[in-house]
Amino acid sequence: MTPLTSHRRWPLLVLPMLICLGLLMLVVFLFGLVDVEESFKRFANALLTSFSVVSALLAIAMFSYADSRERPSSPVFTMIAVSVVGGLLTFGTLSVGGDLLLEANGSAMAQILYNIIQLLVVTSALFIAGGLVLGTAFSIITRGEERSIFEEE
Amino acid sequence: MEELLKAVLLIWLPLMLVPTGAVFALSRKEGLRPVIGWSVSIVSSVMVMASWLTVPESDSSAGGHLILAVMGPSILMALGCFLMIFSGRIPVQRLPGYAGPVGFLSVLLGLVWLLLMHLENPPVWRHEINPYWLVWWPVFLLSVILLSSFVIGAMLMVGKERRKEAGVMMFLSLLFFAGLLSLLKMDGELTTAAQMRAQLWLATADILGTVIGILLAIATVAFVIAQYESRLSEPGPVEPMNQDEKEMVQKILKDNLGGGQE
Repeated sequence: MTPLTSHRRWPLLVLPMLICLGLLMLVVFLFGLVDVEESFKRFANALLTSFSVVSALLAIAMFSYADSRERPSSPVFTMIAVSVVGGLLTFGTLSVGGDLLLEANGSAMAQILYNIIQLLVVTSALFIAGGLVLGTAFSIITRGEERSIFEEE
Repeated sequence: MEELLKAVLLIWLPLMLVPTGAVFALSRKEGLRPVIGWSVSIVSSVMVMASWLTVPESDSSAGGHLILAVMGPSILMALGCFLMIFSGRIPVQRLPGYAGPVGFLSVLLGLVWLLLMHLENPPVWRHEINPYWLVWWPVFLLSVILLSSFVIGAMLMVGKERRKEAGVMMFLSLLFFAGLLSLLKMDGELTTAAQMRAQLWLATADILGTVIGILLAIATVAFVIAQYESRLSEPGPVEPMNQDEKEMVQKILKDNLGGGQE
């Protein structure tokens, strides 16, 4: 099997993950208690916040890219502009547009602060879970049977 | 006003400085930049985690409290993974054989700690369960299951003859899956099974929103850089080397070429 040579196989990588997610959601759905409106609000808030915050972080990272290009203000300003647009979009959507405020938060600003802390909590869970899975996978691999790196001629 | 200023100085500014310090440190390896960057990041992280003591009146301090609460099990699991990986068959710096079982125990202890936090002793903030614990725990469990299934797919499709390893990984994934299903039916000390089911559904929305947002931001950066690079003019001809540069090249060649010596 030469998997890396076939580009058509790449989408299959996420297939087990999607099946797993689908199964879990089915189980939760069968249990009942699913609040679709609340989950949409959480999805929209998470999307807007992570886009704005990560854009701002990448804008900071662009300064080192800028250093290496020697005259490089345009990408930095573009990224700052993108993160500002993300922030304004979040603020605008929360205060004027759709009803994305969660129950506990009375104003757009309170919702934004809540979202940032929520992003910190979600990303920390994602990173710790990622570390655990990757660490376990590598430890299983390093404990497997010894293989020769080069075939003897 | 004073409370707002305290929250800005003791939570929000440090929270902003954690990633800023890390990016600053990673941007250059020479000089004092990495030391300053990492120091700023570490001090700011401690300030965020201590915010429930320094600014207890701010609602945001619950986030710092939660991070502090999961720090212990996370360190145990990270240490365990390190010991397990580096006691296996690796070509350099292999740890002694007993490090593997100790690492496994450490990971197990970390997971049991988290499970006990769910069942017996969840993080308590302002005399009730920390609201962010109800976000963190389902997101963690769901992420472990989803990432495990992704790794299984990667092992089978990208790796060469990794069926056995994928089998072990699948066993672990199923163990977490079964554990999660049982948590969906079991009440904890301060949490109910119904609450857990509702939170799991919301955790899916959180994970999808966060991951899509991050991917969109990265795609935007890639697009911006590609656009910028494509508009740069062709570089002009290079000036011929001056005498100093020639001497430097000759010195480097002299130092590194030669042969005839063992």
